[in-house]
Formats: sequence, structure tokens, C-alpha cells
Amino acid sequence: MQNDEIISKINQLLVDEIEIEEEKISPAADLKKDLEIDSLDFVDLFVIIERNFGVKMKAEEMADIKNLQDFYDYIIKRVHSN
Amino acid sequence: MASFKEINLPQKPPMVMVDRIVEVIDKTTITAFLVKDDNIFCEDGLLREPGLIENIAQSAAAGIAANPADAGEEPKLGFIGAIRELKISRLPKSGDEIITSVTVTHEILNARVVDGKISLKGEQIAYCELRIFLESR
Repeated sequence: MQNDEIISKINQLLVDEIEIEEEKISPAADLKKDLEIDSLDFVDLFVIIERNFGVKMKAEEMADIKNLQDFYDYIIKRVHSN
Repeated sequence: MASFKEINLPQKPPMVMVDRIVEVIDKTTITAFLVKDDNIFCEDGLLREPGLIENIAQSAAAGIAANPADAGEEPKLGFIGAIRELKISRLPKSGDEIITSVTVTHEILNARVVDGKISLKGEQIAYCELRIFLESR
């Protein structure tokens, strides 16, 4: 899977599964402040990402992920390392 | 693999919705529960939907409490954060014994994602995914 496909898929999942408004999605968007992702959404994200990318996210690695670009980079790295 | 006769739950009667743990295999716990007419979630002799969900949640709690790492500890309080993919095909009636299988699919800090299935006489009658948050100690 190419990087742009991964990003597009993540964006689609955020809209469809986490119910984030499409216009709020941008690489600089802060996950908590701008996208308003709460603890329950994070749990859903773990499940959704594993189902769609086969990537088991690690909670301790999420501490450094602040914005959507960080999140894209993390998932892309994990997808390619699988 | 381990078998247990006693359960360790924070709930007290009449809210206890698990009679016994049948088996714990890795992250899967199997419990049994006899539906009685005086159950708080029974109506017209049928165990209603909230009772089925509570049964799955308590089965998960019983499995978590049965973890050897928590042996001898007071059971942690858990809170249902969300219910996903709920499917109920029929309701058990008074006198039925339901068998519930719960598997912890994800552990994310103090959150647990649990797949729960309830069977009656070998037929699956309910399924859901729960997001459970455990109290921090």
C-alpha cells in the first residue's frame, strides 16, 4: 500500500468510524484539541487501525503523537515494517 | 487453562449476573448463568437486553479478576464506555442457563476491548463488543 493510499484510508476511517467532520481533517490538526478525539475514540482507533491495516498500535508509542501528520507517519512506518 | 468455581466481582446481589466461571483460557473466559424469574432484568419471564449486556460485562470482569496477576486483589471497578455491533437474536427465558464467552482483544492502558458471545444450548443468541474502562488504583 502506497503512503497516499494509507493517508486517504485513515482520513476515511476518521470520518466514517470516529465521526470527525471532514473539513477538520488536515495534517496539522491536533488530535485532541482540533479533532476532539477522546479516550473512547482512541480505543476505537486501536481497533479500527488493526482491522484495516493489520497494525497493532502500542499505547506507549502514542505519547509522542500530537497531530494528524504524526499519526500518519506512525501508521505508515508500522505498515511498512510489517 | 484453569477452572474456577468462585467468581470475584465488585457487583453485589441483585446485580450479579454470573454464577460461575466455567473456564479461563488465555484471554478468553467462559461463564455460566442461570436465568431466574426474579432477576432484576427479567420481564415476562425473559432476560431482557440490558441483562445480556450486563452478563457479558460481568463475564469480562470475572475473567480479568481471575488473572493470576490480580490474585488476592479486590476486583477493579469497570465501566462500560461503549457497546458496538450489538446483535441479539433471541432472549433467554427463566430456567435457561446461558453460557457466555468473552475474549479480551485489546488492552490499551486501563481500557479493554472485549468480544462477547452468549450461547443457549449451543446456539449463539447474542454478540457485542464492549469498551470497558477499569478504575485506576
